[in-house]
Amino acid sequence: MPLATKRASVWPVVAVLALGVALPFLLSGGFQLRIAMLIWIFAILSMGFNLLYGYTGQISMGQQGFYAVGAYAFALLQIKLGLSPVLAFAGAVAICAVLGLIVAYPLLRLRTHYLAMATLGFGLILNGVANRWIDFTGGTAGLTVPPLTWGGEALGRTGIYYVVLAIAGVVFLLHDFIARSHVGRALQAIRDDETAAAALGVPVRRYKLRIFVLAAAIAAVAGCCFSVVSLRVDPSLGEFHILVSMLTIAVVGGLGTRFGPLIGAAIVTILPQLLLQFGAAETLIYGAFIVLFLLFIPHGLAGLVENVRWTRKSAAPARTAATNVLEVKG
Amino acid sequence: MNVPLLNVSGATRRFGGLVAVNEVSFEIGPGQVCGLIGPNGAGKSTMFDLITGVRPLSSGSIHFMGRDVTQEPAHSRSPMGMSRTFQIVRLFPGMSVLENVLMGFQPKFPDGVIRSLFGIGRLGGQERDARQRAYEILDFVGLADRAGDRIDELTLGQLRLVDIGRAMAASPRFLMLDEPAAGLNDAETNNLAEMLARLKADGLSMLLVEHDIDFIMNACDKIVVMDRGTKIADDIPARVRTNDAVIAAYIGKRAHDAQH
Ligand SMILES: Nc1ncnc2c1ncn2[C@@H]1O[C@H](COP(=O)(O)OP(=O)(O)OP(=O)(O)O)[C@@H](O)[C@H]1O
Ligand SMILES: [Mg+2]
Repeated sequence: MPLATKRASVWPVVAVLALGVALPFLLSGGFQLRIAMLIWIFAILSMGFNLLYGYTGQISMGQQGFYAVGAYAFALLQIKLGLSPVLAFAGAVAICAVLGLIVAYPLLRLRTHYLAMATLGFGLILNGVANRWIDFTGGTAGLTVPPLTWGGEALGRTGIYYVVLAIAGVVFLLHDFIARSHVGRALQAIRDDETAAAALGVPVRRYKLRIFVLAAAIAAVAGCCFSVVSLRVDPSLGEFHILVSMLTIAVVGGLGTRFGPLIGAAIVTILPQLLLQFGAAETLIYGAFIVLFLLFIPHGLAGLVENVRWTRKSAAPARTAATNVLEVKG
Repeated sequence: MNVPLLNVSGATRRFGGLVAVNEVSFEIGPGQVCGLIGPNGAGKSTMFDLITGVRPLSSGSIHFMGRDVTQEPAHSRSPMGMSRTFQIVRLFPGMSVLENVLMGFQPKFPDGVIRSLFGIGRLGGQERDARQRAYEILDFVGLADRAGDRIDELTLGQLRLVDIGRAMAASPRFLMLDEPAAGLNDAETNNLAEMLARLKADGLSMLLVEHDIDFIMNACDKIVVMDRGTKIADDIPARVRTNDAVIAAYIGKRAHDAQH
């Protein structure tokens, strides 16, 4: 079969993860390692958003809400119930999955900007709760998260990095599995034409619900990772700037692409650091950079690379026997 | 006699005050190719939507292979073996030509992420087979060399062939084509007629909507004629040609158009 008919391979993802494993040896100092962890965390968050919006076409402006709930639940389950970090992690993800289902059920009949507004409202409500329900959430001061331990001692920075990497790796592989499989095609079909998708046997509503729940659970995973790294959760987790970062990552990296979330997360995390030397002009340059992206690379950096095969014509293949094309059932 | 493959009984669909399909009943037997003709706005495409579940009926019922599917949603009818194209081609612009055809295999794959992960060992082979078959189908419709192209690089005729290929990919028992020859040039139309003849020879049942009368007369075992939502004839092609009501409603209109 010609190249155009081959399924995409998992190896690029494995290579990137291998680079992730090597990273602590290539970086100098804790600050760079912290940046690397933030990249993975934002990549996780954006992968959920990418599956939901990039692949399925269902926008959610409330992902930062699930991110915050995940982080708070992870902290609170340890503080109030004394759960181990592993159980608190599982609990936090489960809570967000259930919350996602509750939110998705009534909302997913909405489309485009109506869905955007409704999910944004959900995010704002959660943020209000985090700020005001002081007894439970610690109010604006937030909560302190117990550090991860290993053999009775607090885990060092490199250890924490590998924990985050392992979790990000699982999410990355899952994201990529979906993107490369028939499930990803079904999601794209829903995004492109719901009626045609249904006529081809895709249970549209059920898939939308499932993917919304998955995106909520993935946001919770990112939230847990953030609490592990920062050892503190506060209401800023659920605020607007998280949403803006996520949208910027989507634009820069490319929506509905396999590597867009990671590439976008890397640029959005590293670029502001590089621009610090410009002082007050930083925000201006950053903003101009985003606008240029929108104008000239609307499908993002990953879109540039991943669509190459579409523009490259496949070599004219030999004609195959067409007689056995149809298996007509009796 | 055997159970008919498709039984449409008293099918009615209203859009507000307009009755697009009005108490229409007909049957299609196994292996039969049925034509559905009628002037513009007769309700042919709406009939397709009712049969495939894209739109609900206002009243009446649809039986497929002896089973009442009236309440079944569209996505559970296609895995039973119904497959259709749309009058206005509805391909997925975000996917390549091959991926569009691959969507026809969707019901054969495990449903959802979790089931797919459990079946991950077999999934690779399944995907490879599906791709091989999708490629063969593209070859069958003459578009093998466009497998990796984007949808917007194709002509209207080619898009229609991809749509037909995607419908064929589902290995349907019953294939429904809504004006498959619209937008095709003469060579492509002949090619299509030849393809349909081969499918028919393989025993596939079909329902064809087409404005090209000769095309329909040649391809079909029987023809259902609709006019303003109502069935006005249901007969073999030779007798439909000479049916007075049909001539008045449809062929007469054509003759009338031709005089001007
Ligand atoms: N979604 C809709 N809302 C309102 N009216 C509709 C809708 N779809 C179809 N109709 C009307 O129903 C009638 C039947 O339309 P339909 O598309 O089924 O006809 P058709 O026989 O396929 O015609 P054509 O040969 O032009 O394709 C028409 O009067 C049409 O305007
Ligand atoms: Mg029509």
